Amino acid sequence: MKKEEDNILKRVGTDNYFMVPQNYFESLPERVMDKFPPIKVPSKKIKKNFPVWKKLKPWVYVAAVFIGVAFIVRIVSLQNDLLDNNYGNDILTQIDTENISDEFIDEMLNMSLMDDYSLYVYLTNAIISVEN
Amino acid sequence: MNCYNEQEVLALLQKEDTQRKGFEMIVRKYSEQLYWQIRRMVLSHEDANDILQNTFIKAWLNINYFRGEAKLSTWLYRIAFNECLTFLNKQRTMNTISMEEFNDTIVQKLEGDPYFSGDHVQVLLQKALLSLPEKQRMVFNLKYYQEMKYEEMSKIFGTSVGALKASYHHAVKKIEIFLEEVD
Repeated sequence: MKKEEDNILKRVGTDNYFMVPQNYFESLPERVMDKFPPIKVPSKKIKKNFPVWKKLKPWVYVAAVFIGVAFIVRIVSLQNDLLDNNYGNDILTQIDTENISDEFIDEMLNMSLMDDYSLYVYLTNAIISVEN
Repeated sequence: MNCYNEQEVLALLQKEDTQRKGFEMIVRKYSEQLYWQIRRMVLSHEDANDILQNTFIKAWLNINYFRGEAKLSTWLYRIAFNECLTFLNKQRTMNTISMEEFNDTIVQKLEGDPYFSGDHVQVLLQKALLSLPEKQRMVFNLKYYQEMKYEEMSKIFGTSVGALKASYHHAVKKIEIFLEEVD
């Protein structure tokens, strides 16, 4: 290949016969730079500035749910305690069902709320006393 | 531009306030060598000027994607040659005449170009070069006029050194035959 290359070199050489307008290269950088639009350098570490509220939001929601559940449980248990306390004060629990009269029971059934268990106990005792 | 230092320029490109300054250093460093390679491909000064400016604009807009793994010059040559290929393909598709007729028109234009001072032999060389496939012409110009190493060329074209050597060898042979035939 060297031979062919040498032949071309001898024949046409390596001189540059192309030309440019005067001061073309001197003024080129300025002309090129004038056309450039501004571009933004992306930062390597992309910082996502979330507000504190955004960070805490899911935890606040979870906490609110727990507080809500705890509140409901507390209310229900308080009501149960109140019912238990009321149950202790109930007139039916203070007196011996075996010694009360049928008239009193009728009146109690008609006049007040009697729970199923007390009624059951009363009826059972009543049946036993009848059998005896 | 004796003080050009690629690492320093790359560091300037990393910051928004120094990016323009860094890129201007690149333009000053590479504009002339890129221009001549583009000019040898498209022959007309106006076209070469447009392609060179497009090359730098594309490089500027994509400078953040330059990772510094290759040399800046390699990257710029790659953009410039892609721009040349796009331009030449567009030029060819716009003309309905045959390749031979198209090349004759370009040579005629070159002969009347005030920015070309070559004699008849130089015009013949350009005609011979126009008969080569575009990539082969690029390889020939880089090796013959710029004495670029095949290893560097392989980074620009993404082709093996062996393929580039073969391409240059073919180009030299074809040009020699062309010049012999017209004698």
